[in-house]
Amino acid sequence: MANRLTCLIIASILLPFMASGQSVTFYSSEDNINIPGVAVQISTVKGKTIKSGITDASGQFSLKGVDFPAVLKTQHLSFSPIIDTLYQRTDYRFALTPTITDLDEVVVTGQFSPQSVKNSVFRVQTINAEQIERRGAITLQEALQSQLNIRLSNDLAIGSTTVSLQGISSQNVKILIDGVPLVNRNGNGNGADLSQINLQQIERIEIVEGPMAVNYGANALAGVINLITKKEFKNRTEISANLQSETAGDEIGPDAGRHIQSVGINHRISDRWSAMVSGLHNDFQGYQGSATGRTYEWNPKDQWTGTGLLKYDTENFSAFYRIDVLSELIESFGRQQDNYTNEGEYQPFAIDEEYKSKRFSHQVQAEGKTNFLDRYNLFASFSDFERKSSQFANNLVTDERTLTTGEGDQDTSTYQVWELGGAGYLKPVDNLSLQLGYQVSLESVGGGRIADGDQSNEEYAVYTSAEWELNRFTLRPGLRYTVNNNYGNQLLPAMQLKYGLGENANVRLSYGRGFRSPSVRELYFEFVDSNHRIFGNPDLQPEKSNHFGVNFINQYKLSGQNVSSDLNFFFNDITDQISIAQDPANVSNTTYVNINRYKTLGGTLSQKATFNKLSVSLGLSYIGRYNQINEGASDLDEYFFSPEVSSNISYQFTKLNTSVNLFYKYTGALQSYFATTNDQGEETISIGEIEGYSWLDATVTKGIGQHFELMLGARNVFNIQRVNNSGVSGGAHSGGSSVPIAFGRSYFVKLSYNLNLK
Amino acid sequence: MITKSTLKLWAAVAVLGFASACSDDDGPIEEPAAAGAVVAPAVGGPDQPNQVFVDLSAEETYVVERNGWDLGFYSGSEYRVIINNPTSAFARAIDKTDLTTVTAEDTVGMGAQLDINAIFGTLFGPQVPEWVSEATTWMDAPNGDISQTAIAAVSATESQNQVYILNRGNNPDGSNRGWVKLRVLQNGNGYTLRYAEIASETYQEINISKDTEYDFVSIDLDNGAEVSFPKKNNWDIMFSVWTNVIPFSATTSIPYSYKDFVISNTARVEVAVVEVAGDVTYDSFDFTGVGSLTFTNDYDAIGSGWRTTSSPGSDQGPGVVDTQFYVIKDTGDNYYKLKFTRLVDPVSGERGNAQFQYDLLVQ
Repeated sequence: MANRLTCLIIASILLPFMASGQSVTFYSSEDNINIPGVAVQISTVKGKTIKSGITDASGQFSLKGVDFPAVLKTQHLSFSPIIDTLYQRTDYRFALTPTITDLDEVVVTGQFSPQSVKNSVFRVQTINAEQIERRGAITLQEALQSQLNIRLSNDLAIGSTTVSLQGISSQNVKILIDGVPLVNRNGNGNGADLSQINLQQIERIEIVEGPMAVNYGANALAGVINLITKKEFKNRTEISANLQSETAGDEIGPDAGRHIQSVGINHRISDRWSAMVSGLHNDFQGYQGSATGRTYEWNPKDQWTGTGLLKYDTENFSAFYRIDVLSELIESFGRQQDNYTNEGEYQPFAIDEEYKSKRFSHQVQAEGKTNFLDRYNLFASFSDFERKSSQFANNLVTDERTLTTGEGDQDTSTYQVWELGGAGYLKPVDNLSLQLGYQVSLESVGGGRIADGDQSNEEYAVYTSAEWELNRFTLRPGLRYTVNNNYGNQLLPAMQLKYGLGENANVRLSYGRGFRSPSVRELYFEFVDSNHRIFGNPDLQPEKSNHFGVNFINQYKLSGQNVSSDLNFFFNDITDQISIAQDPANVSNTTYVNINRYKTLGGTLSQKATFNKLSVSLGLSYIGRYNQINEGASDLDEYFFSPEVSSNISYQFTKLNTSVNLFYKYTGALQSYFATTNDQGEETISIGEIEGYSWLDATVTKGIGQHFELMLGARNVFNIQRVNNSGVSGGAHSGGSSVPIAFGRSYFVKLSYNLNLK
Repeated sequence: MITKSTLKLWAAVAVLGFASACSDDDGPIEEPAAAGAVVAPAVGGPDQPNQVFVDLSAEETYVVERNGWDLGFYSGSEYRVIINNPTSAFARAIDKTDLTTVTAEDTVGMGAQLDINAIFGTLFGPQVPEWVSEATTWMDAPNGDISQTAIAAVSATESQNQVYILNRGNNPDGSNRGWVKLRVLQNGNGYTLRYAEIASETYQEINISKDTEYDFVSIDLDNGAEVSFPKKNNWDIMFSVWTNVIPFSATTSIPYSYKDFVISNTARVEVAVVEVAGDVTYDSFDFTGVGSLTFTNDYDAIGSGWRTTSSPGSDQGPGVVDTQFYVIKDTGDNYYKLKFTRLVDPVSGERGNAQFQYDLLVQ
């Protein structure tokens, strides 16, 4: 008792001296518990750093040796930073507000260094691996199914799915893998077939709307979709395997529907070396639906994909090599056609088509620090894409199979790209960061109907941008200069402005200039038959766009729960859009010319909230698409607007180790003007529309023991197959009067196995 | 059984006719109508160089090279001249009546106006020229209406017959057949044709007599010679490339060249389309079904409706529409059911290799 009393007295005498001017303590405003690990920087009022470090286990940081007044700054992953001036040598206690980390993901697209969504100067939307997983999504197409401002369209003839963003077509949406364009049949990053992109080793999908031309160059007028691959893992060895079986509409069984098998192995070889290998087989047996005989409504598609990653890490340097492989076979079975041989024998036949795609992408990326650069990264990639289309005549009696001889029946198109680039980051003063980068693209494209069979595109670019922080403002000007062997120089400015309204609220203004390179097809196409004389135009200029965006984000607490809201407006104005036109030099020919104008404008409002085990998001968008026909007839609407509604709901039953997830999107009707003939035989302008439709996916996942997880899901719950298209005018090639969306409601079951070895 | 379309067959018919004529019966020869056959008209593959006329009851075909003739002189009561539709020929009058004074200056603008590819191309131009809406008047009406030809009725008053500039259309390989200036006059119960190359200061002249066994007497401007066609009662349907008119936009119809098109002998043949449904199939159809059909004598009653082609974004390839067949009342008033079996060659997969099957409906 006496000892205790003594201690107390001594302590009460000594404590004021010990604490006096000696330390600063941080505690959480939420639960008053002291926070260890807060990064603290003390500097003079003139900005010279005196002292920095992190708080100890009791949340204290010593102020020993500090001259006052001094400026205190903090950083912590889970708490908002503070800046304050300490005027005298005394004991300080600061309450730190927990940040809303649940909703705030780290993004890299267009960033100087990994950055939170909220603090990014660009508006970046993300879909993370967990969300991909919960949806049972295998390909990018499935993952983007309920994304706002994104619409997918299917080409049943060649089995591809392309994307439009902000009402702008896929030729202007650039798909990147770790920042490097994904080469595909139609382009270097743009026009990609989303069904060919598997998400097995994808950590996160980052979507930035608006041209990211300063950083990513051409063909991103609408925006970029950057797939961030998995490179980190926790355990020494991780093994995963998945089996997934899916019906196609009501077609089910081993020879129907879709069957997916995948394996992945991650292994840490040493402190510095790690490797990841994965493979996936996505076997879609086709959907016959209302097709008869040998034919399918949705053609069978068999995909094998694989990835490999070898990574080297030290404190100041990391590098990886990644390989992505795709092999895809799409078979299109023609219907039985009657035929009598010269001898009068009945020998029906069918014309079948095959599309074989192969893609190898090699990528080396390195990142590190040097004495004069805060950070640098370098990449080199080589992609080799080949698509072979073959057409066969099958004698259905003798089973003889011969290649047909029509023009264009057999074709191999190739696309090879070397992409090299790098960027360095400097921080000459505290509130200014600079980025300097270069990029080289060397493309070689070959195939039938390409003049001389083979053409090339070379582009060299340098770019720079700065991030300048001024109180609550962050200003990011950027500039890119490119030289292209086909159409010369481009100078592309961009400007982003972010203003912090409060700790969790920001306003962003953005302006960007973008361009789309004429595709090799547009430059060098050749197609002549009795009805067509189409030639590419080597003198084409790029399509150019101006993009304006305004964005407000706010994250706040609603009855103790995290809510974030995002209000966004955009306007895109594309000039010199390339369209097919009469060749002024030879009126018998048609060619590609820079003549069209296109604009889109719109707004989106989205809300996300997490209430304990329930997370809900709701988004609305309203996009107007320009009608160029209005330029000649001002009584016609300049824009047709179309709404979208998107909502994801997820609930966790923690005790049952179960989650239930719903993914919904309403895609509004899309109107357009088209020519039609009325009852009196007069031709008139009418408004046609592609019907709107609702899409819903639902899944339930349940963990079974330590290693297994079972998932049951339904895709396309509303059983949408085709939507009506009333906007079809007559003509030689009037398409169908409906637009294919999917093959009807389908169900899937997925079994996952995970083994982690420490 | 297969019928091969060769002139030999026609020779055989002639011999047969001769033999018959020598028999006791001196009246008109009534060959029994063919019971039916499988026929592969020799259209000639993807470039479709031939027009193939089919006589169902005689089980014969007659081949004319589609770029082997230029003008057809009407043998009916009116004085009319047609230009070659299958090659997409176009003709336009100029305000002159003296061929020798016509020069290239008189044809300014016609390089685009009278060229099917150029007309099509204007639709993609920055500004669609006003004349595009007139373009279909510079070709003959595709339905064969003799009152709507590019060249106006040939007047008995010589001075009213203007000079026409004729683009002779395109060869099967796509090359142009050249341009001529021409003028047609009445000449008794026939015609006088004067023609020359555009820059020529002289011209050639030929006289053409009407021949009522034929709808038209056809002339090849390469040599001024008459070209042999089947007699007007000796064909029912004809396979050819056909320059049709399609509406393209709200204000514009344009000429468009169709391949694998089937024309009826409009004045003499009627066609009904039968949809396959339930019990109604080609095999089961017999004469009792004819009464409920609606027949038309439209030129394109078969047209392009019998086949499908590949089009962008569609999985559908070229082939026949197998959900329908036809009933044809031929020039001899026989009723035949007719079903297309194929559009493309079963080995090469190329178009211009149609085949059909037909059977007599016994009354």
